[in-house]
Amino acid sequence: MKYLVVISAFLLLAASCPAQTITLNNDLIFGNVFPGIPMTITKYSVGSAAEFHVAGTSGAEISIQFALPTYMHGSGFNIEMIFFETDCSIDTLASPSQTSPLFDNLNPWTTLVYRLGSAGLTLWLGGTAIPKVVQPPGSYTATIVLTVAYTGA
Amino acid sequence: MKKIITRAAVVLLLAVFMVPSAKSQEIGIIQATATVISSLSILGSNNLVFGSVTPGINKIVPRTSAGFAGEWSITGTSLAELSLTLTLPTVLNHTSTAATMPINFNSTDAALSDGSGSQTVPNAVIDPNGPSVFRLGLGGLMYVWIGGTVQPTVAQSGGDYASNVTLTIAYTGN
Repeated sequence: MKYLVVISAFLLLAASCPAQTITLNNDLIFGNVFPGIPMTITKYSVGSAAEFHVAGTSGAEISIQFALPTYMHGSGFNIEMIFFETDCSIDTLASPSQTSPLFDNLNPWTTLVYRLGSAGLTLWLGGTAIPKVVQPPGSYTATIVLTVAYTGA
Repeated sequence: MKKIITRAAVVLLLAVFMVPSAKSQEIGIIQATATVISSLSILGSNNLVFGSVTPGINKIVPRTSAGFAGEWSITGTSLAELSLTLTLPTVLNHTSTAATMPINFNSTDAALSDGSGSQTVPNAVIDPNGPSVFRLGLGGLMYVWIGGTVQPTVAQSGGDYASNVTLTIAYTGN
């Protein structure tokens, strides 16, 4: 009977630990880009920087990993992209601030490990597009993948 | 007691299999997007033509003189800002000898239109000796005109003279 009590407690704990979810709040939007003129979107740029929100168990530690593109593609051509080692920021506060985040200048090329706040965690990502002088006009896109997982800690 | 322990073990195993759902990975995908605007093109549509000049007498071609003033036609993206830089000669070179003839451009010798002005009533007068910044018109057009003054000496050798006048343009990104 003692075992059953322990197991029941364990099951309750498991049930109270929901899987994390990612909400995609904003794409990384460069807008109009001039041939030959690099364009940078900073992580502070509201409505242009990429924004993700991760929800899950408050206080739980998660690992965060980006798969970043090196080019945007369009109509058989591409635009080089650069993500610098300070292009990411995170805020775990209940009212996250994009312009003054709790954790700033993070490296999106490395695995980031943070604990979810009471309202989860919000990430922002900036980047730079490098169009060629003779860049053909048109629309270009690339995919940015964010993978998060509980570390168990 | 043994039965209870066995049942407990089964339940525990089930619980262990349930737990990974809380540790599973979650993946979110967004797009990076950009729209590249059309490239610039420029055409030298009229040379700066002084025609016949008399030794010892300066000759002026005003920027407003259609068919004689230098003219460039530029096309690009509507309302995009451009930088314009003229590279001006100080002399015209004789086409078959080493003789030269001085040429001068003053601070009001160039003008431009964004398509809403004309050569005689341009949108702006610009100093050809310095860089300028101006926006293409709604139709993505710009015209630039340039005049100048040649100063043949009294002993100026006869013949044809020419030099390049170069206009360099680029988007500023604004």
